Amino acid sequence: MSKEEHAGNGHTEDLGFWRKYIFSIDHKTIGKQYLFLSLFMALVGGLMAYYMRWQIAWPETAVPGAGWIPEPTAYDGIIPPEFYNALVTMHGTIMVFFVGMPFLLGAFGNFLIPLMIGADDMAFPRLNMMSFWTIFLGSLVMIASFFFEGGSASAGWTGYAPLSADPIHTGANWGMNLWILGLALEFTSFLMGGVNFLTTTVTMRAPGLSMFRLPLMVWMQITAAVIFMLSVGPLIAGAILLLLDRTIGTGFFIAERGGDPLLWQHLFWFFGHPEVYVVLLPGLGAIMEILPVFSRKPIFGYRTIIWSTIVAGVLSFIVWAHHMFVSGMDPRLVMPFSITTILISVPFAIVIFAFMATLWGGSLTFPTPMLFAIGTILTFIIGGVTGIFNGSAPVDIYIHDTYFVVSHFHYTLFPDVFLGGFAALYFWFPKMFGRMMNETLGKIHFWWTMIAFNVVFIPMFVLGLGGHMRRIYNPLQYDFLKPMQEMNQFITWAAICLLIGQIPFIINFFWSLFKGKKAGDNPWNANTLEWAAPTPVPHGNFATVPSVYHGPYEYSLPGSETDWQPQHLQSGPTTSA
Amino acid sequence: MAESQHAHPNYVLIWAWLLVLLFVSVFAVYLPFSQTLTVTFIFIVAAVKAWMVAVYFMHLKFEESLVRYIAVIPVVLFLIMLVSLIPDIVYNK
Repeated sequence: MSKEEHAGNGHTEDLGFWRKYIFSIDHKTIGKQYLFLSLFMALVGGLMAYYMRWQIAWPETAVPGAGWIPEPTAYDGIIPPEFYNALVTMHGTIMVFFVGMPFLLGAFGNFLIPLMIGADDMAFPRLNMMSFWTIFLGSLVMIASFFFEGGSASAGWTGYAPLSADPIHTGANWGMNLWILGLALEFTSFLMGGVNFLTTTVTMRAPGLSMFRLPLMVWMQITAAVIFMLSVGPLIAGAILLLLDRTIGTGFFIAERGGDPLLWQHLFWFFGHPEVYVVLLPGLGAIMEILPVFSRKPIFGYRTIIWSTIVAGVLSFIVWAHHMFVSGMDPRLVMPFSITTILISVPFAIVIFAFMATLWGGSLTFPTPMLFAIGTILTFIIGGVTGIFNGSAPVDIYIHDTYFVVSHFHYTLFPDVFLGGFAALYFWFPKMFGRMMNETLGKIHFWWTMIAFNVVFIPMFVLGLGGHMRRIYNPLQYDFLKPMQEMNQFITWAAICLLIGQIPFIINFFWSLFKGKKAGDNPWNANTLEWAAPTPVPHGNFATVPSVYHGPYEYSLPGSETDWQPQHLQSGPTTSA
Repeated sequence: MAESQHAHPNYVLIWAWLLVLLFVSVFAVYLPFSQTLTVTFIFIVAAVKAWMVAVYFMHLKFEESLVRYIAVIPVVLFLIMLVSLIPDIVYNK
């Protein structure tokens, strides 16, 4: 069906296939494009994790299923050190920049922000389309970098100089240049997206929808957009300097030419630490929408959550050097950054307590989105608490660059991107595609993912405390690591299980897309405006511009006939803005 | 949202000035000054260029005062970063 009615201003448009599904300016289609891109890239990143884990567990044996990779990248499935380094680098780069951001910000930000604020589209729909096609190009560049001589970037996802500054160190020449280019495209894409998120939220809210009646998901998206815009500048500048070092012989990051490799680390982490909150906040935002709906209770501490995340956003700009305690940085910087790092756990602890207080005494039900939401909180707490270990310089000096840090990182971003992202996908799938996802497959997916994830990463903490370095090609080269090799093999089996555990999701996703039970407009009895739009949502979203009379989380109000109070319905006791 | 009424600056002229300043900063190394003075001069020229981009190309000259205040935030962050880099970059020769 290509005949589309723009309900907002009542005209009928006949868009062809290309304009409707490929070069679409509809925020919902763009959101879905981001969704498919990020899920595809997640498969690529997951496959890389498998190759990497196999090499660590059974070094220099043929990886089952890697026989197709041509020489000299791999030899009959045996992974050489150069390709291993490329896998480590690209797994990180792809999962953070081409899965986490497009999944949580690209897909859900684009799809939800206009719907949640009662707007007909984004403020700049064409810029929105451009932002998707820019990151699409960035993804192509990243994947293409594998096919160049010397392979793709292999200086780690942080691209530390001097490894990244000169091809002689890693052998990757054009691969590394393309890595810089791909990241630049990705940053450009999210700058355009962020401008759109902010402008749309500030200027296009429905009448009655004050900033403090906004759903928290919107707050988290725009906070993330602001943090991203303020932090990305130094890294873009740094990336240009790095490219100059590599191509025209400058020496910004090369010590023998008078430069300073540490400068790269400062520039990278000035962006890199705020960046983890850019990915984190929208994932938490999804949880904030899901918890009240399935507790039938208002969220606890609505304004406190908003201010906490803003404080965390501000603090995130002055914690970056905690990644550099053992880098040879000036020791006078260590204590201030240790203190700010431990301080930043306070606002997040407040948010987590608000989550628990929301659940407390609620009428809980446990459909798949709620299971994923609670799973996110449980696992994210472990990630947060181990972050305090890493932030304390004396502890960090021992565990830095071990698997402890790898495990900590995965305990923060895996729950957020995948558990939180899946929670969001199971929750908003009915609104996105007009059909419900299968509950049984969803629950199998949840329990399998949850158990396998913990079985992978809890032993990794133990490995890290045992001194097992990250990013090494062959642990058997070190005598002191040999006793831990069985644990490495165990982790690899668990990681394979974790990957297999995504098969129920893939089946569920595609089956539900075409054969799932038809969803009503508001299958979860939720309050926020996106559920007031018809399902499937037409071009232009709302038949008439909705007016807002309530806050977003007014569940089980005393004196109300139902246990929910949609934002756009005037009935029931009204509350102040 | 009402379209703000203001005369557009002559973008090409601004761009030409930016190019002139670029050449000035590139060829400043040939001036008979000490290294410290030359570097200071280049940084001042760079700051002027950044100011011109912000004021004209980014339209800060034609925006409300709130927008101008918002534009101060990245400057503050930049200063924080610069100060934090001093121990590493200036003292660790």
